[in-house]
Amino acid sequence: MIYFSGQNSKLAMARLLCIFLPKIFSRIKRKNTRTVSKRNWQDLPPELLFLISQKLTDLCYFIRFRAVCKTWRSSVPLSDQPPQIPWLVEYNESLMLGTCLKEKLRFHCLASPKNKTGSVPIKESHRGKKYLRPGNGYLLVRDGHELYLFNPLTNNTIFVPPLPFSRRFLWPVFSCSDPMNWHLVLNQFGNWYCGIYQPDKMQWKYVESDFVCTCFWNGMLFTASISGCTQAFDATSGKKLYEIPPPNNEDPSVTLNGTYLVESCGLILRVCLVFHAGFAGTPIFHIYRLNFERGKGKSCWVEVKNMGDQILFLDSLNGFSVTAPAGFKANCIYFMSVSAWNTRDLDWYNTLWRYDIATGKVEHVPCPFERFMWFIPKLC
Amino acid sequence: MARSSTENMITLMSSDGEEFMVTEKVARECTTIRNMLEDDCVITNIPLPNVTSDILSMVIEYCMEHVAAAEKAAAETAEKGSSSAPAAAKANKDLEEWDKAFMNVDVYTLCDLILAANYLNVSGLLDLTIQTAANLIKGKSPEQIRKTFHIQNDLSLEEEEKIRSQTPWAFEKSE
Repeated sequence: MIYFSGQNSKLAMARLLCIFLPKIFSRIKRKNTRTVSKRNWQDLPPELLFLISQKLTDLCYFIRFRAVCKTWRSSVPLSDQPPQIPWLVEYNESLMLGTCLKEKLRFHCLASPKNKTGSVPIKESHRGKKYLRPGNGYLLVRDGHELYLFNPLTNNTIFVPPLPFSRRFLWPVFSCSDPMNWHLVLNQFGNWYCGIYQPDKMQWKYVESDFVCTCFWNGMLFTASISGCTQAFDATSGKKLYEIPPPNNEDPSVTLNGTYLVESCGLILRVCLVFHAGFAGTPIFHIYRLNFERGKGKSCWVEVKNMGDQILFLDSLNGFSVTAPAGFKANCIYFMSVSAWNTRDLDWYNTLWRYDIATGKVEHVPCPFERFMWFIPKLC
Repeated sequence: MARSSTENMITLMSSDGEEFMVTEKVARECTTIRNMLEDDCVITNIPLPNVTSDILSMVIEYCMEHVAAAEKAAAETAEKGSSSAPAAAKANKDLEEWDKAFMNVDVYTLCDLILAANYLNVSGLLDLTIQTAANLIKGKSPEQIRKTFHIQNDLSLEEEEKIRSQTPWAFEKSE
């Protein structure tokens, strides 16, 4: 900006004006009896209605938004569902044997008041069957010797090809990031099978590993094994690509069921739960991100102290990451445990906690169900 | 400070012909105006045919408050070398409180503010107003939403019935 010395007095005037402007404005505001333009909420441009809809983090609110009038309905298609805070669904029975599907599937949304529950009616043809685990919009349901995936919100089902082994006990893990390209891993006594879902089909691949947890990203399956190593497999061929040693300073007290691999915004995280002063002590999480460099450099784990706007959700087997919506505390971990820290029984996860990554504080989160599991609702 | 002595004043003109004189810094909070100024730096008079005077005065009020808050934070940082975290947190909280009080408006004004914030491209104000609208929707039935926003129900009974039967669980009264 060019500066003219002759303008000094003008500028002083301008500054004076500046000081008094707020007063002028408040006067204008009071003076004007609003000549209401009668702008109509019905006529708001679709892109602005879309912005509003994306702030509705409870799916019920989003559906009700679309039931207000024709413009609101047509402005935001069902497929543009806002980012969801996962639901907790009632999950009553033993983890590996599954929970019986009843007339209704009860759910609770963390974005809603703490005692609010809803229930999705279950079609008669699915009732009485056992669902093994919820994840990524679907429940994995067992029907005799058959397995299928079932979205209780749309009644959409996907048949899962038969597995080459008997399956009384299954240990399924869903990855939750990409809705169009996700995977399902099943374990039966150390035999791991990876199912890659593509819109039209699902394929099984046997993966040779002793791993305890997995996550999926960009066509690769990451697994953490009992030895502490992390392996990366090509998910389509089942071929092992890389092996990454455990983090240098990993606490030796990290237990097998306290380790998670989580994909978060394209990063692979290793989340380790340790208990300060023994297993009955305070839980502490250590988070590492994989410095991967696509296998070119030396892959290693780097400790992460801040997850920014992300929230991590963990259950007894796996975890996923969600961007915190407005009004939601970010940079924290929701995790489940048994009510007392001193049992490792995986079937009895019945208490929900929130861990603040910045301060290490643990808070109990009330939940209306006695036992529960995460579920990400999907309308399409 | 030397910086502010070179500050230009800009006149914004509302659709109903009222003129508002603001500092360039405040005007620049509106990305639409900032782009105009960058294209043509001698411009001093900007007509805004899409914004009425009462709404424009509110948009300016918002921009002034946020510019003042940012300047105060910058001055404190310059003074102490680095801003102290508790002071910054308090300033943020104060600004949030101010925003909250600022959003105490009727739904017609809110609608106009959303349109103005979008037209003038004031991202902070757009986000604030959109979030306020979303908060008014949360927890309400479609009928309550219509009442809140004065919207006529133009869906036929059959259409409404169909919507409800597709996802009955979303319409359960539970709050």
